[in-house]
Amino acid sequence: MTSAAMIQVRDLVKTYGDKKALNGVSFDARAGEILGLLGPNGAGKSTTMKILTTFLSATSGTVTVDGIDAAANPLAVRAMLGYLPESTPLYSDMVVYDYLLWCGEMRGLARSDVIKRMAEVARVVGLESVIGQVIGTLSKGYKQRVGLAQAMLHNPKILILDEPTSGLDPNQIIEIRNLIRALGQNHTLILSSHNLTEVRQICDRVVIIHQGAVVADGTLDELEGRVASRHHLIVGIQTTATHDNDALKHMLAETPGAKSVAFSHSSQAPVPAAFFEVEADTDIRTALFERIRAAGLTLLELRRKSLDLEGIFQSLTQNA
Amino acid sequence: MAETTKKSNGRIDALVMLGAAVGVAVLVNALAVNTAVRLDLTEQQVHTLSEASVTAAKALDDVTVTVYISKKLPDVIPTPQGKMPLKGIDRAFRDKLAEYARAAGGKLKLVFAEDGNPGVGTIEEQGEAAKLDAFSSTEAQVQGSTLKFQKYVLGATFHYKTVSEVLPKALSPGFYEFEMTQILLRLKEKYEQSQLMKEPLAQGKAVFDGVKTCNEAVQKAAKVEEKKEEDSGLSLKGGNDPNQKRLNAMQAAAADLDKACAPVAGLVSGDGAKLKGKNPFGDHLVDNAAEFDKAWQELKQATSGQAPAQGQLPPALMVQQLALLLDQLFHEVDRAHQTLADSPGRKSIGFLCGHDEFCPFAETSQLVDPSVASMLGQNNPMMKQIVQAATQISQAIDETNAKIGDNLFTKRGYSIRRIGPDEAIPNDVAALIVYAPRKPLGEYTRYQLDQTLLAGKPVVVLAQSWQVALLNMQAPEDLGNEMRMDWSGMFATASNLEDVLKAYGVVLSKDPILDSKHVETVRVTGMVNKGGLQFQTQQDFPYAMIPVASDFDRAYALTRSITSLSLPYTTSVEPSKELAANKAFEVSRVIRSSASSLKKSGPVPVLPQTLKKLVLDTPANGPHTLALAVQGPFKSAFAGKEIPRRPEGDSKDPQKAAQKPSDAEYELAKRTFKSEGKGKLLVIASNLGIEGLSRSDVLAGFDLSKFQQFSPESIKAFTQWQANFQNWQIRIGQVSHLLNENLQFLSNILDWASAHEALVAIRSKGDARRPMDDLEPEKQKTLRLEALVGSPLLLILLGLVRWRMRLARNRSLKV
Amino acid sequence: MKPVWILARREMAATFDSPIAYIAGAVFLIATGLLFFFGLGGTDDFFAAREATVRPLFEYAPWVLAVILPAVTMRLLAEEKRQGTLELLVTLPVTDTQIVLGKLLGAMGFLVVALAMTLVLPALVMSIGHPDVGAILGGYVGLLLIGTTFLALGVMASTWTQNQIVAFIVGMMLCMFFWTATDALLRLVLDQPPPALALLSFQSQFADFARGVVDLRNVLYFLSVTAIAVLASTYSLRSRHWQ
Repeated sequence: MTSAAMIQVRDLVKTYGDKKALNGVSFDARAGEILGLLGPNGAGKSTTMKILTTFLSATSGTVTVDGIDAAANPLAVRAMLGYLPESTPLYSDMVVYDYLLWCGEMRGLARSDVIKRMAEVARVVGLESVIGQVIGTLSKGYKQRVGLAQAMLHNPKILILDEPTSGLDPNQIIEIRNLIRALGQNHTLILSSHNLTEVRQICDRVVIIHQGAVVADGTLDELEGRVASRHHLIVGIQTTATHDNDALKHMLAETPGAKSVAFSHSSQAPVPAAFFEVEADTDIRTALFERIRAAGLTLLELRRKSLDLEGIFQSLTQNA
Repeated sequence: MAETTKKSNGRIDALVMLGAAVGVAVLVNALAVNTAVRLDLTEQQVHTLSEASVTAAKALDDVTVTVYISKKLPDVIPTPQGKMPLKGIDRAFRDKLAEYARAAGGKLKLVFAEDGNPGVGTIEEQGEAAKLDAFSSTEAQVQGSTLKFQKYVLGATFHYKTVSEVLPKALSPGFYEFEMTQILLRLKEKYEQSQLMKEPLAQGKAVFDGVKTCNEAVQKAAKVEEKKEEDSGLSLKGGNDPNQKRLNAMQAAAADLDKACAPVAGLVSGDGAKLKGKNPFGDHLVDNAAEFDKAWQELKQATSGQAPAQGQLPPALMVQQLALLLDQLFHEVDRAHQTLADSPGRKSIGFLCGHDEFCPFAETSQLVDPSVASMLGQNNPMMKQIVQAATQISQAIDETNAKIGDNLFTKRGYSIRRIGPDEAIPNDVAALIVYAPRKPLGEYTRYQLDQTLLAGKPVVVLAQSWQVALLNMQAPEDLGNEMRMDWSGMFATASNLEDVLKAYGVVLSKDPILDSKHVETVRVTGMVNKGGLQFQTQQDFPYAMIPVASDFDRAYALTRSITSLSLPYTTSVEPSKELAANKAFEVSRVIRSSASSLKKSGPVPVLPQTLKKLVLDTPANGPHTLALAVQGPFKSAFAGKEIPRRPEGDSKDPQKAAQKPSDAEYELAKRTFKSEGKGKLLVIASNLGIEGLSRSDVLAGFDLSKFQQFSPESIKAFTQWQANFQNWQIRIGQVSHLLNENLQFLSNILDWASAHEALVAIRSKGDARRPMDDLEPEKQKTLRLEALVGSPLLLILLGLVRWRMRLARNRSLKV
Repeated sequence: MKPVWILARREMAATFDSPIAYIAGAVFLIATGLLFFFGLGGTDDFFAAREATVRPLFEYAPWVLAVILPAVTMRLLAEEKRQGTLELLVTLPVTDTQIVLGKLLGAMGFLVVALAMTLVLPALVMSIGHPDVGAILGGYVGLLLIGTTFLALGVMASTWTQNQIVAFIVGMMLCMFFWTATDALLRLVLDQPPPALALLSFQSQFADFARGVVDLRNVLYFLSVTAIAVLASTYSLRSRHWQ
């Protein structure tokens, strides 16, 4: 990871009429890093990206790409970018081959160069088999690959991908994520997502946007450090006739280090079980296990509750 | 274009920029209004000034054109032919004038009449004062209590040194160039001639001015009277009689009047006498001026208070009537002076008459001497009626011919002369037209034609070998019945042109030329019985006997820019072998029929369908030459022969009777006889559809001696005359739709003949009609279907092909 | 200007890949053909007039073009907006002006093909007579110019909406307005419209071409209207920045 800031975003404000979509967003993206823009729907990720790609102008604030002011010289900035907008808009009546050829030519590449480059890109994203197909007939996953292909066709310094995996099925998601990870090795890459897992898997650094403002900016480790100060566990115990939920809850609460216990839900199949959420300041999984065993109960499940975005925001905003 | 995404005020910036762009666009377009960068893509350069016009514009230095254009011209104006759109016509007029100004390179100045200058009136008033023709639209305006049609003017006056010409009404943009160049050419000639004719013109002007001064004085005195009359309504004795008052006023002004009018007599006998005999217009002027003086003398006498002579009106009434007469005579003098002033620059063209040709003049003699007619009536009242009716027909013929001559030629600036069969062709006739005679030319006429040709004056011969009638009226066999529709057919004329032209190596054939494809229609008038009522109908049929020629000799001015011409009932004309082989002659097949034409010895069936069948069954042997121009050293047809003496001619014409042929005249003719001379001969084997209307033809067999007594034959003869007149109208009607264009060609012939070849080309390119071939309805249907279905089908087919190719290509795509 | 051409080429391909082009083209050809042979009221008869001329084509074709061309331009930007592809398009390194020009040039492909297909009519007339070829040429130059202006107006309408139907109707109304209504409307407002305003009408500007004269003033006029429409389209595209 180099420290030179490829993209500098400073105090972006964007208002649509009375509505403020962005309220002073600032962050940097360093050359060669994969930056994740994280935030719930409507947080301002897309607006930020649209301003980054010079599709829109900011009401105030600046975007500098490789030292160039995007507002003053949008063409130079666009030339450096590859962009995959949200929901991957493509000319559905075009054949993949023609579409990529056209994109390359529009970006000023010679036809022969485009064809050479297209072969490479098609291999990387796995489009060889559908190159002669009309885009409208492709599956969502392939369309996404076409979108990626056009974004990287001209080997841009910077790739901006808005929700690259939304709407894909799990297998497709995995493929695309792998692809993006591979791309990140030699591009500066900004992607937006509302999926924490995705960000965790792909990104070097995360900027979290919430309600038009940056609420967090750091590496995943840093962020996780901040969020991980609370341990949140899910515990599933096989219920017996002698232990009702209250008793179990009580029993769990007695575990050393447990701050709070809340009944979550119960289930009957395959075995009757009750589930509880346990919060603690430290890792008390061993203690919990011991405690349950000591009580003569059967532990069915013990796992960390995954960090959902809302949770993170809650914690982050609370921390802030 | 570098793009800057504006952060703020983008909308306002954009609106400002857009506004500025609109402003710039308006400015650029406004600045361009007076530019004349244009590309005329038409074949004949219809919308560009011809070389001839440019030359004409450059030839005059310092021409001032005063342009009168009404500020708000109407969009349409009513004409007898329907509504005529005028939209944009002012721009076209202005543009054309500007083109001339540019072509002249500063030598032609445009001055636009403006409204609102004190004392000069509106543009319309100024224009009318400058002798423009004002016109009105359909929109009337209420002015005071009366409905008034707004008057408009669109025209110009051209001034060059001492002479000027008027373009009175410029409503046909297609003819602007022709009209303007004609005016420029005429200005030049007029000025040059007026320098030569300085004396007669000055004399004419002197007489005119004298008459004018007198008339103005008289009219002023007479008018003052009328005003007074309104003022004093109550005076009783004599005072309330306007005529008496006028007389009194005139008597009071007698000294002034005498001063103004006394010189007239001197002018008539002085300048007038010198002018007389030099120029027909001058003669007319002097004659009228003399009449004027006579009337003035009478007026003078009437006002002098002397007792009226026996049988004369009382002086007061006399004065009133004489004052009116003087004013009328003044207008005659004015017109004659105008014509005289215009006469330089007009070459007169002779039209041969007396052989049932197209002869656009009234007859010089009367059908029946009035004294004879009145005598006849005493014997037999019935006879008197018939003679009267015949005279009426004769007058109708004269009127028709005179009107044609006036409208077609005189009004368009040609000066035409009637050449009778027993008349020597005057020297000032610049060209001779022999227009489709249907009777043989006499020896003397042939001799005159011969000498005119050899003198180098252009001779144009149009031939009519056949009369074709699809409907013909005949007098009934039994008296009291209605006229009946008789035969349809074609009848050979008695023309001897073949023989006349043979002497000059021109072989005129009598065989009609038919065409199977390139033809115009004939208009057939018929009667239809519908519910017991007779209706007249008109229907057009493609007609093999009206071939359309489209093969023209482009090297020849007359046909340089013609695209097509229809020649009704044409035969063919070819050079003889000897002429064709003679290198000294320039022989040009000016007009030729199409390859699908054929020559067939006549007569042929005239009904369109029957004729068509005949034509389709006969192999084509075209093209045939329909007009031939020959230029070269012609030999006289009378070389080594006795020169014919001038016949005595019609003794009924007093003028002619005075010029009896004399031995001296014959001696002179012998001495001046030319046996060889360079000449220009143009022979057209058709009459262009313009058939002559003549008294001798219509009133065939009119013989006073036959009418000494009443007989059924005389009634029948009379009915037949009526039928003859009607038949002429029917035959003209058959080709009436072609006449417009053919008359254009006739005008071209006149220009060619009067050596205004430049004008010929300009007119031809005007609104040339481009006819299409005659097509069978089946063929039309096929062509239409091909065009209507073919192209969309082709487009869709191309789409399918493209689609298939794309599919194949996409399948083969690889990276 | 290379991007303009690349863009135009794609538009042309897109136009002719879709059946719309063939439907619009066929409708245009049939309509002009019918008008050519039968006139506006269906009562004229081209063959009966017996005149070897293509004038009726130049008289009627603009009417049909004013309806057909907006149908070709309606999708150009409205569809990009609706599908979101506009976002990709305008973030390519090309200016908004280049985009508009590319679209216009692309649509001209259709115009040229449509006009070329009408050449059967002059060909027919030439097979049965001798029409003035120069005048025909002038008429086609005029049709090309007026068609381009109609296209520019159509493109402009297409930038205003993401609904193709709306773009079509607005575009057609604009074309019709300039082609026919200016005179009538001016007359509604003013009693005697000044002649300068009458020049706004496409009809009076087109008349010279139909006669076979290519006059700089008329060319300038159509180019001006086209340029203004292109500029307005550009600003309409750019308006996303200040919304």
